[in-house]
Amino acid sequence: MASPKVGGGAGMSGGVSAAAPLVVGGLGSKREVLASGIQLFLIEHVEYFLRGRDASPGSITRKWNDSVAVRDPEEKRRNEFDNKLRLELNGFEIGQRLIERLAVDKDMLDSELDIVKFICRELWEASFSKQVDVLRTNRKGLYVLQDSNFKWLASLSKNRDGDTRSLEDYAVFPCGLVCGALHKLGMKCQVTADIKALPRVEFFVQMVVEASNT
Amino acid sequence: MAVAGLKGKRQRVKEAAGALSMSKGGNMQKLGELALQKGERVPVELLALTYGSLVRQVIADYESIEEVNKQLDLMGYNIGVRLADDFFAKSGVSDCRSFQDSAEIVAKVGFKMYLNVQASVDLWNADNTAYSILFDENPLAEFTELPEEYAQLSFSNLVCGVIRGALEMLLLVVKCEFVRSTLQGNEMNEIRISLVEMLRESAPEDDED
Repeated sequence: MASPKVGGGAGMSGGVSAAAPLVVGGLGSKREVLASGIQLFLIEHVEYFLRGRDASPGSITRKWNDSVAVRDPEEKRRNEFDNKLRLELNGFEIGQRLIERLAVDKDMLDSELDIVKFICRELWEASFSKQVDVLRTNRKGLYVLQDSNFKWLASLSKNRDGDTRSLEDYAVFPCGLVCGALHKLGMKCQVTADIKALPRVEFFVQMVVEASNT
Repeated sequence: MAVAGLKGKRQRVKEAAGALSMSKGGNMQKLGELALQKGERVPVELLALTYGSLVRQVIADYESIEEVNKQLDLMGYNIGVRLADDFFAKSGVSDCRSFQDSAEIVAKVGFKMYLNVQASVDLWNADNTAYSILFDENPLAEFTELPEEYAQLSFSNLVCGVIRGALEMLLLVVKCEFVRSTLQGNEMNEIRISLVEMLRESAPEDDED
């Protein structure tokens, strides 16, 4: 069954539209909305993915409703793991599409550091309405992006229902987003987040060294 | 850290609404633009991309399009219930006690703040219990084309849920649905909102003070 086409326009390598006006800040349409609305939407989006197979009782049945009442703790753990993976992948895809749009008409980014800086500026502004506050690196493939007021997770801790899920679960989405964007710009990496001191969040970007590079 | 019950929440929203004052008949359009300018903004792309991926996931998860529409509405409702607080904190809208008031507020202020689109209110029915919100651009569907097999999909149904949830915080129970959409080849998007019931204001039973 085909899904509705939801695409991010032309690929970076392919037909980049020459007509697109050069806009400072990246995106062509320039339509801006209140960040708070998007934050509330993202909470619901993430919760939908995390609910996954353990769909709340009373909600309409899903295709896999036979597995809704999962008793086996092992299976429950596996489902939760799957849900998080699905969410991370979703963030990854969105990060790829978003950075593709942001990077149109931009100069080539030569070094790893340039790419990370681009993420700190452009991706952050387009997603979290500010820039990364501090960027640190050990020059051995580890970058630490510190946002001292990461509003998305901060607003989440105020707004979410119940305490069934940890904030780490929610952080999977922005990690996927950042990771997807970096991959699209050619950096193979893993991204994790440290959210112990909200609203400060640190994203750890660890480059993945490949054995053979063609 | 649990969110307070709906009743307590309604109370708080009403209080916030009452506390702010604004001259009656003030220009709603201006209020919407002002609130947007004052607030912290992000480009709409992240919303559009994420929403598209959400709809795809819901389609993959549910059997029928009807259930997909319902699920999107439910998620919107959850957002709307929380958005009402944010709306009154940022919009400068004072009071919204009648169904008629709510129309202009939702269309001119709400749509401007959260979707940055120009929307208008029209097509009131004879006894003023139903109206339509009309707008031509829909940022949620910016990157979307619907294949023919999804003709029954109300792609942006989340918006209906948001309106329904937010108005319920103001004690207005409404039915809300897309009747036309640009995704389905129409010139305009039209959301029909009909009043089902006006809840009576009553002191929350479980209020601690």
